Amino acid sequence: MRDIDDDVMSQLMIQSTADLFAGPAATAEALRRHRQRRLRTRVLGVTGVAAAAGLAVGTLAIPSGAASSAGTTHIAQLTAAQQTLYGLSAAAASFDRPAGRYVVMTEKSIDIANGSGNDDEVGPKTDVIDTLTGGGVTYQDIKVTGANGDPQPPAVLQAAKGTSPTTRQLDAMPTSPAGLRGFLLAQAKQQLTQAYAWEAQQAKKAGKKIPAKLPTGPTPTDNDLVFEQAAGLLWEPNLSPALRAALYKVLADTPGVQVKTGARDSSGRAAVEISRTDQVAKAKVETFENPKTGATLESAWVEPSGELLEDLYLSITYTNQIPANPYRG
Amino acid sequence: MDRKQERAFEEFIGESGDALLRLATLLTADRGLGEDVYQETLHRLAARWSRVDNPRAFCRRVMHNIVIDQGRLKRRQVPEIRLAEGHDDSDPRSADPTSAVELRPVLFSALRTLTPHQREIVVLRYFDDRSENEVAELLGVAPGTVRSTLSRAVAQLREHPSLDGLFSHTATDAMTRRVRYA
Repeated sequence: MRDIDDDVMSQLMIQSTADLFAGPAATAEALRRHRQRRLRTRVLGVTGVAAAAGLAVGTLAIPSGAASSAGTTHIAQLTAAQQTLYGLSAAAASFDRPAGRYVVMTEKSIDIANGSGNDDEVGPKTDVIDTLTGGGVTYQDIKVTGANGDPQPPAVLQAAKGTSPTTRQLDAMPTSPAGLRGFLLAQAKQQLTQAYAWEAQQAKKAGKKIPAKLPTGPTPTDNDLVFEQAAGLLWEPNLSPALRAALYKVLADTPGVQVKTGARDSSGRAAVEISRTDQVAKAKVETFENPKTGATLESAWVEPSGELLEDLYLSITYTNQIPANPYRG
Repeated sequence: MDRKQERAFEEFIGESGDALLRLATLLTADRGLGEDVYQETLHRLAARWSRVDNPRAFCRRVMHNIVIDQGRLKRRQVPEIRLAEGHDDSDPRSADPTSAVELRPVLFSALRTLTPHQREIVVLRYFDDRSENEVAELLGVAPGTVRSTLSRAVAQLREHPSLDGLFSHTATDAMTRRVRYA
């Protein structure tokens, strides 16, 4: 009798879901979001935990009409948060970019999966960015922690040309706050269009019926897009002082940006924490800056589920030769 | 993930996506929640793709974490049984859609009388065909606990009015003839 019950249970479950098929939209959405997150987290290092000791000095609340009048016109009415960002801007402007074709950046990534047992700590790793071609190499000294016995990732990853922005591309960006804001917005919208086109192409390739209109959900606001692009650029180690200075001014003119002084990054370094919660994905992007130099110390991404991904930037140096793998031998 | 890894990811979902969606739907005993859990599982799988060596096992674990984390699912109200479940008649793969559409509300209302924990054990054992030891390992409980939970849960399902009559020889024979294994 027991065996018959088992069979009935199996058959009921198989048969009651036999008409459910996974469409291509879920796959495409997962890949699209992963691509966006990867690009952003590489640059944005944030950790909410480390910032808990920080002192909140205010949220930017600028009437939307004023958002485009960036720069000098309303310096007289700066809020404390804006003053902090202008301070970072001035600090960044005063630091020269070192000479050398290759930027060598050591970093550490941490993925805290909100108690699900999938926590990973990856690193340290060393990124070598070729500022002429945008290509490079990443050396990893990887220890994966976690309950599920993940395999070891490759120790050396080659990055194709164009993976990172070149010095020439970075230096072609506008350095006036209003001009840079417009540029970042246009760039973000172009990337969104490309992502949707890709999604449609994949669905078509899979031979699935394509809905007349792809499900897009709520659309990110212009301020969402500007913050994402700006924060995604801040972690780039090879920005010119003028571009880095302009980015902080763009952030100072973006409503919803939160600024905490007296914060610390996850390795305990003194930092200014800049964060904003995306109005659509509800993900919080945080970036921690060195208050004295305007350099980015850490980027973090907090999912609505509480999952936390952080990248900690440990050192940045410039050389004219690709360094050997520091973790080998 | 590079292009090659993305293709491998797409291939895996192409092979296993239907089964994963069905698993998520049974674990939640709700079509809408099942779709949410499936999408969330794909997000987490994509984020770790290059470091996962057994994607099916990884997905099972992720679903376990999502489904057993009550706070997460409570955010969405569990809707009443959808009596008029939409079905895409044009999909040629739906060999026998009528029986699924009829059967689903019946089975799901019975499954909803179980706790999420009981339901997970029943679904992993009978739908996903995991052994009692595998289920025990995934849930972090003793195999004996799985066995006793299973027998209690199945007994409870047998008593459920909507499944009344299905656990008899006649019904089983009828079911066996109708069921098509993919």
